[in-house]
Amino acid sequence: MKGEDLFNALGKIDEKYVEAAAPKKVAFYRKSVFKGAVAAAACLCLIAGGYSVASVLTARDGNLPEISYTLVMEGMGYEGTDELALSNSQDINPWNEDIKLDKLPVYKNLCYNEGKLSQTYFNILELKKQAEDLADKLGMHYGNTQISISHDQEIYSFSLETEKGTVRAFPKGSNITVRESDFTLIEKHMQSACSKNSNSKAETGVYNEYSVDGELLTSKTRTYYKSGNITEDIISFNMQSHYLTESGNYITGSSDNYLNGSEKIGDYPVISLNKAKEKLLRGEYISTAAENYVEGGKITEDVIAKADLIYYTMGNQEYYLPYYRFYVKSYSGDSDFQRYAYIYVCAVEDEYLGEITVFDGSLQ
Amino acid sequence: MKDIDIIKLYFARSEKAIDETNIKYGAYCKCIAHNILCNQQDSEECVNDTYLRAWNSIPPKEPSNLRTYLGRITRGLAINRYKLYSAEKRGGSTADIVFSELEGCIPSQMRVEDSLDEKLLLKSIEDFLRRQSTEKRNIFLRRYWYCSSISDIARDFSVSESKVASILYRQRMKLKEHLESEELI
Repeated sequence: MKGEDLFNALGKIDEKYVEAAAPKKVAFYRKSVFKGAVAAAACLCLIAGGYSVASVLTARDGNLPEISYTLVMEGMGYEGTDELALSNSQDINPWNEDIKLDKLPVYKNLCYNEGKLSQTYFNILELKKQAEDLADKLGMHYGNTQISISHDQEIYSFSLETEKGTVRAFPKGSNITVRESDFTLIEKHMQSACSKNSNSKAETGVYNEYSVDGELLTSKTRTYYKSGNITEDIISFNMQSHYLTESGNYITGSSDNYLNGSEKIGDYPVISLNKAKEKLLRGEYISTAAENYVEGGKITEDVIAKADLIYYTMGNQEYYLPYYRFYVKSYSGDSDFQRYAYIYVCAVEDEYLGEITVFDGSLQ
Repeated sequence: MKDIDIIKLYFARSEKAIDETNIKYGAYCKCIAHNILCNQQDSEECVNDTYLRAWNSIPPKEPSNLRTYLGRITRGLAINRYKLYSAEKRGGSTADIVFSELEGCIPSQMRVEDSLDEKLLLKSIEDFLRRQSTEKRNIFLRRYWYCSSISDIARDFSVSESKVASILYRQRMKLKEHLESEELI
């Protein structure tokens, strides 16, 4: 059975339901994106100016809704990294500067909880079921769990204690903590949680964080499943990665699943890296960087160390969109190592973006 | 003109029946057709075909609800035309997205090649609809019967688009659970 079969079956339901749901106001025939005379005049100007019409005149896809939002960036200090972390980490991001993309998917986060730190959507019973389903899949046994629900309680996780360790379910993923001797459960969790098909291969990299003195603080192993399709790989890397962290005799395997409780709203045209860089240099970007983070207070080409393409998923976001993330040399304070601030430029073409919080380039 | 009087015109084989149908329900039928086909000319042709079907079927049929009767015909004709365009690769429409969304309601244990007894499936879907609140049922059917856009639904129900998306997602998950529990295979 396919979705179309279900659609056809719905066509035969009792007319009383159909009648009750009938549109009260009838709106049809969307306005044409092109207004013929204006488009023709634009063509003439562009041809005279030596530009390719096809490269400049793009029809806005009327099926794609405009996106208005505020990118929520929380935490202490500013987002960034340093040269030690960069040189000692294995970056497995499938995107690189040679890859040319026309479109990327955008997702609406149904768990978005406006003005709050935590995300809610699934109620505690649903999170409990997610945790129990995961424990069952991994063969981890648990007893009966008594819970009480408070109507004003913000539910953002559910923990289940089993004989082999802890299982936790979140709106956007899950994790298990087990003894080192039960490492096979970690692998089983990763294989069950990450999106993959028969052609997918696990890609693993290590990401390290250091103190200002160069001491290794954390080392995190990150794995995602790569299929060979660049768009799928970008989504898999950003939305469904698996992490390993060790603490004493215990290992925690965490699986992100930002597609859970999210809905794709469309495949949106994206700008090139060069265009994103032009916007950055004009001051059209988003950043948590502190005042005077760049010498002279203005970003120039020579302080941009590298760029990658990511989906911003940290914290409580209303949408998951692709961004170009630029690594900009910044004030390093007491550190012996060069620090880089993360500067973000949304990759979706401007004509699909409504109101968006943008850092205008001036010092805070 | 009242529905009962329009139907009398059909029974009398008066061509005024078509004019009156068009006046009262032309916009309604065009809305359904356009939601699926996204093309003015195709939608108009589809509505004209609807009137022809109505003319050829009334009598002997005597619909108790003329609007829904016509809407059902239009919906079926629009989908058939959409399938023809899909085969000719003439591009997609809201129907593509709606079909894709409904894929998520298919019970996990079903395969693409599995088929169901239509009557059983229909009864199960109606059981599901009956258990939903009026607002959620209407939003669900506006999307999956009328193929209305999220923004049109949000406007008509005076809620945000995110709330519509949220309701539709939950309803699809509930329908899936309901179909799985019915053991229809």
